[in-house]
Amino acid sequence: MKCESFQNRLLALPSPAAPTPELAAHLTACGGCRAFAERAGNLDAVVAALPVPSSEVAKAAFLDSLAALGPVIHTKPSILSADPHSSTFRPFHALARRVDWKYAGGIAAAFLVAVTAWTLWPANRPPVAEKDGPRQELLAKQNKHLAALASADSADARLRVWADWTTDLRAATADVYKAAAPGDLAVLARMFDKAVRDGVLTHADRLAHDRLATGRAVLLRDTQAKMASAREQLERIGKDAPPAHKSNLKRMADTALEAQTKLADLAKGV
Amino acid sequence: MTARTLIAVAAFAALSGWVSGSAPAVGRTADEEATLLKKNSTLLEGLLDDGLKLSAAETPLDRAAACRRAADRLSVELSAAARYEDADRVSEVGDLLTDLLTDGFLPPFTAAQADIPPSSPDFPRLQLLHRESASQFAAAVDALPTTGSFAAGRRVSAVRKKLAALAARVGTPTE
Repeated sequence: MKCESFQNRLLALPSPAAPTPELAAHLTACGGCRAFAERAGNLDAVVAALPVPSSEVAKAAFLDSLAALGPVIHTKPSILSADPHSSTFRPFHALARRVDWKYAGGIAAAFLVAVTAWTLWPANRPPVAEKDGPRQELLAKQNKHLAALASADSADARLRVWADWTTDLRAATADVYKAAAPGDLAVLARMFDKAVRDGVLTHADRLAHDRLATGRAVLLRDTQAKMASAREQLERIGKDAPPAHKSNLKRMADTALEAQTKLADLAKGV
Repeated sequence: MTARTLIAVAAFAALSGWVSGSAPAVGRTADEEATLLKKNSTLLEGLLDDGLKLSAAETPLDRAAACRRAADRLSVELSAAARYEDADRVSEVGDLLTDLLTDGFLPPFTAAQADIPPSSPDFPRLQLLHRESASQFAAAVDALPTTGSFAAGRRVSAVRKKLAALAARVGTPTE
């Protein structure tokens, strides 16, 4: 038997002074373990001789130490009143106390499971609302201009429509010029040219020669102002436009300037 | 439950309601606008040409005829969208077409019907326009399918109903 094993087994006994026969055989042969057994026996004797304090005294001392910390509860609890005028009436508190939260939690969990199942179950799903895709504003506006032209039976009515149409084309150009392909911006430039030359100027000329029409000068000047505004904006955006777009924007600005000049001449003549 | 908790819950509920009820942003980027321009450029240019012809038409009959030709351009676009089962495009072009027919074609056409008696030299043209319009409206309705999931979509069926109502309103010409 090794000494370490002997010493562990000796300490496990109720009394080191009464070893088992197997341990006693090792004790006889090993001086070191004999000395260890003697110290263990002495230690037991010293511990047994220590005085034990009275439990009553210890309890009193513990309570005194707690009391020395001062009062733990600082406010006086109040009983809820059912009187709504009472300062202690708190309906939500009363409700919260009446509710058995264990069942409320169960109901909430069941509701959540039901909603999740309803959402994920395809067969029971209501038809999803169809959303419209992106629509181009210019296309819708052109459609309105077409409808307006179908009812326009005079040069001034048509001139107004074409002036608005060119304004929409100019606005669409400003919205898109930074991102459009050069070919697509060329379409807008071509349309602007047609709308100004064949739309605005054609009907402005007819209006200027229609002596029966009223308010010719005012309408011509208003249209001239719209062309001036278009030219200014087109020149401005042309400055920071991608190089590939500059020629189209300049072409549109030149067209607007030409129309501005002709409209001014027409307005002077009426 | 303290008053502070109640206020916090109420504020959270109000904020959630506000967020869920807010309309989505409507602004589009230049890239999105450029995509729409590319998609529509041919149609846009064609409609502008139609507008120039329309504004050169002097009589209600001529204006109705010119407007019908513009509507024909939209009908072709609608048929193409239906063939590709593109519900977005059917809805968009269908709305444009019904608006143009309602607000553009019908007023001068109705005026021409009222103004042109059977004895007028324009009456055969009016009858021809009536036949062409009835045929065009019927073709536009027929271009939209009546069976299948695409046809059952809310937007496609709404366009078909509106066009069918317009076709019924124009009617067929009496010989």
